[in-house]
Amino acid sequence: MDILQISGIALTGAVLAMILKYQKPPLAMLLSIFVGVTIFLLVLTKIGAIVDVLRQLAGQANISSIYLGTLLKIIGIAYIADFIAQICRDADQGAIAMKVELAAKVMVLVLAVPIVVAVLQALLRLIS
Amino acid sequence: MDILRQLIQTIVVIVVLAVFLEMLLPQGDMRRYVKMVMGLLIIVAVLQTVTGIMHSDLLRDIPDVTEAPSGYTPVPLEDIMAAGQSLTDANRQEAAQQYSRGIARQVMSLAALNNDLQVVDASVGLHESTNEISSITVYCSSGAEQSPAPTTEDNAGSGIQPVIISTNAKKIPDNTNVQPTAGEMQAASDITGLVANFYNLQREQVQVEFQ
Repeated sequence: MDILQISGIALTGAVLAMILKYQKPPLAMLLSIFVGVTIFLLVLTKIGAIVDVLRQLAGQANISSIYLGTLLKIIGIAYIADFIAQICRDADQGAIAMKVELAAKVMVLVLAVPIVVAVLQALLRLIS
Repeated sequence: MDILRQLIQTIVVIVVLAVFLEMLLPQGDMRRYVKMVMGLLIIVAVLQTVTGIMHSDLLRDIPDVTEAPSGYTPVPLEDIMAAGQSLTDANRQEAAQQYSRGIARQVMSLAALNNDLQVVDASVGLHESTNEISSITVYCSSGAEQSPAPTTEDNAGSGIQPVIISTNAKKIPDNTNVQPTAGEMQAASDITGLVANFYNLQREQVQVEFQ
């Protein structure tokens, strides 16, 4: 049911944006952003169930919720950065989109540093 | 067999979790980065599961990926540090007391080489921080006047003075009525010089008191 809703919103937005693109390009841009944010927020409410399943699986594997939280945070950063970068590209701002992606990559790597150090230490101990 | 079953079970769950997480990844350029981090996390989780079962210390410096067993309440780090500090202090104090007792016995043996005086006790004062000898007091019984009678019941029959040892430079109150003879004063001076030279102290740090 929800997919019909989302499809309807997306289709309507696409048609309206196509019409507005030739008459009022700035409004078409704003409309595409609005539709994108709406779909994103609609999907966001469903993510809770997926996260619950992931937590359950992590609990079965005795994986700490701190590490799972870090991983989910990284996935969230990736999604948001991708979403914003696409919006920027739609607005013909490829340079800004690249900067957003660069910032997201740096943030992901910063969050990954403790895990990288952990693996490195384990490998060094294994070799020595 | 149970260990192997548990290991395989955990790895299977980790693999399922990884596949499930991979489906969540975005399609763009960020996918490679998230996959890399996810792969590292899975490596650490599998390694910790394996080493945890093998009781190996391969990952001893790594923060635990796997959670502690249920019912375990971790002790706060401050409490552990405070307990360790108090244990260190108690050990240091005990070592200082043993050192002080040993030095006092040495001083009594050294002073007993002088036959002109009867050494009954010795006390050694130590610096609080460095535990170096700060003062040595030798208690002798004067021949001019008999030493006071023992007060404790244990020493009542033997006539032996109780040995008093302290880690600070506090003096034991002496009997001011005792007047040593000139020979005893000379012997006390000899003992002071001997003990001071032996322990590399100033003469002022060594005292001989008559009881």
